[in-house]
Amino acid sequence: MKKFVLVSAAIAIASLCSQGQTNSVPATAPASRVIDFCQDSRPDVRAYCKDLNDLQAAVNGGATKAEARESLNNLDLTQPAASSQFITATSNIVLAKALTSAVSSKAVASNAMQDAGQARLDRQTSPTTDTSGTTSLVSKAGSSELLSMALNTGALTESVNGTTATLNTNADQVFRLITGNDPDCTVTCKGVGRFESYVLNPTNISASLDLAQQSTKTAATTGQASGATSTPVNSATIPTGVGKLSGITARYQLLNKFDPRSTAFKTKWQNAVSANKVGVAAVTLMGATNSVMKLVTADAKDFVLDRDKIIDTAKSDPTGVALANFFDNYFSDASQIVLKDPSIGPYISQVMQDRAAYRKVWFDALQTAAGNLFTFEYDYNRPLNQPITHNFKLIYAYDFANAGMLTFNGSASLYGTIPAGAKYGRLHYGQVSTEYDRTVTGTGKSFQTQLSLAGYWQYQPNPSVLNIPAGTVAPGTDIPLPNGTQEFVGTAGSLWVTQAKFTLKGGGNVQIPIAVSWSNKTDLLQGSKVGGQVGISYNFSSLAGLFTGASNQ
Amino acid sequence: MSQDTADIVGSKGAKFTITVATASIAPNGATLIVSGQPDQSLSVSATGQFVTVPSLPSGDSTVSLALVWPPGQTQDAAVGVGTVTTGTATAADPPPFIDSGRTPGFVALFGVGQ
Repeated sequence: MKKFVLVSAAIAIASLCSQGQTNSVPATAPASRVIDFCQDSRPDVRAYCKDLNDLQAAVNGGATKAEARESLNNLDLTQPAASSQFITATSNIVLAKALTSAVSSKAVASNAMQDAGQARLDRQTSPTTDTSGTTSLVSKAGSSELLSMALNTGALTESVNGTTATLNTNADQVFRLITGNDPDCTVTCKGVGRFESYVLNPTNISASLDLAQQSTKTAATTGQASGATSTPVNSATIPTGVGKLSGITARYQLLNKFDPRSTAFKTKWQNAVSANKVGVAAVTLMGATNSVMKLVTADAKDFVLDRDKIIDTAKSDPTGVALANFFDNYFSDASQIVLKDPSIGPYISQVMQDRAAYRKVWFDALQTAAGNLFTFEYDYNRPLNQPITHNFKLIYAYDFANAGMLTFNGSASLYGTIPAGAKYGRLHYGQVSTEYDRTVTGTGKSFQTQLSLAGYWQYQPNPSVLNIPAGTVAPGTDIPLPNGTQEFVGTAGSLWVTQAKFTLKGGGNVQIPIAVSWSNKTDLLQGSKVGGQVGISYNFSSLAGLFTGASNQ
Repeated sequence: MSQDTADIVGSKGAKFTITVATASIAPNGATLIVSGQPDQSLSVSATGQFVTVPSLPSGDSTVSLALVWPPGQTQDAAVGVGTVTTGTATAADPPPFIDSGRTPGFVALFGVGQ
């Protein structure tokens, strides 16, 4: 029996992040005496911190200028090797200025890379089953896009059809947006890289908004405006409009344990790199970085790093403080000139987008090579006029390669709060489901079709609970319910759903799922139901790098 | 750039291969850049471990490499000179490295002679 060990996708990546620096410099001075340049408050010093650390260590160890050539090249803005960190150090400034032009002219990701994403059968773009607008009977195990949006209409287990807008993103992208941390190492990052790799990168987040169902709330009245009634009206139901948040989903992926040194894994990795077009992403990133490099080395031609002076400075203060100040002055002078070049902003913007895209496909390749063990999913669900529920789901997928993919779900749904005197317990329902997906036509092309067949069984110990809001008039009377109430609706027991789905995948990562389903009942109504579901999703990955690029790396 | 700072120094017109350990070079992922001239795409080996410089330009030039780093790789990529078909080419001492995880990687070349 195959032995699985729960290890996150990024453990192997994180392990390499914790390793030492480089082997290009001689022995180091005692670490306690030297500042950590990576903790400096100045963006340029942080961006070049590895090379400054290396240089200070080399000088403290007695290295000559020739022996420190590697570090000096990486710090010298007239050298190509210094360009990557220049982008990292200045992206915050440049992209703030170049935002508009970046959006309009450069926010186009490689079509080839997007085509690679199209081939995947494990991506989840629509909301979970128990929302009023969804096309997904079974949750998929894979990650979402960097940034995607989906519109779905049609209900599966719900009685009321709705339309939802769902925004998907990756937690790492959000973290980079908020914190401004987006290192140029792309994959094997040090520092917070371990946290990103272990926690954030395997985590995907989505939020769904209900676009069709008008919700209401009860508000206290302040007096009669006209007419005369014998019964005073103390409260009234007012519409609150559509666009209400209907649910939030967080997903965490666990990959199979893998040994990156094994021949078997290396073979899988090479195949995954090819399948996910990681090389294409790397070449795209190279092209954009080359454009920046040419501008930086040309514009900074009068700012050749004084190698003797920087080494003397490092020698004068083994703690590194003087070196940090010297480099900051050098970089500030040179970058002021370089950043006057009006063409550099769009290029740097493009590099940031390409870095984000490269990082995404790299992790996709890792997921492909290692294989997904499980995905955990948590859903915070706010159905209209029903209690809030918390759903916990375990997802497993088995990839048969060309023969398709089989996905299994098992979940439990719990009520958020149980009012006093409730005649139901915490458990809302439990369910198991499975789905088979297969690319029917267009494998390897940008336009593809996918067939999905799914089955779903849900058991709930009690009928569904419907909230009757305060102020609702009791049927057949004019008596408003002052405090609201809850009523059982529908039936307890089994709910079966089957679905057949056909998904059109167009160029640019547009997906249009069209599905038909049959269920023996729905959550609030008895009797079988035949329903249709349709949706559209679009991958906004080309804009994701823009967001991260607007940050300070 | 200059002969003192270059990663690889050779004779003008030299034909040689640049080797990269640890990481692999993506197909079509190597470009020779010379100031004032169009970029030249270089041939990448099937294994992705070396590229061929068909004729080393005189003076400064740069090879840009689209590197794909494998999972679990912690070491920087050592850059070296492989087979020298014509002329001379030598890697700097100490040998140049490309930082782990960084892509693209740049290799500074210097061709001696007019």
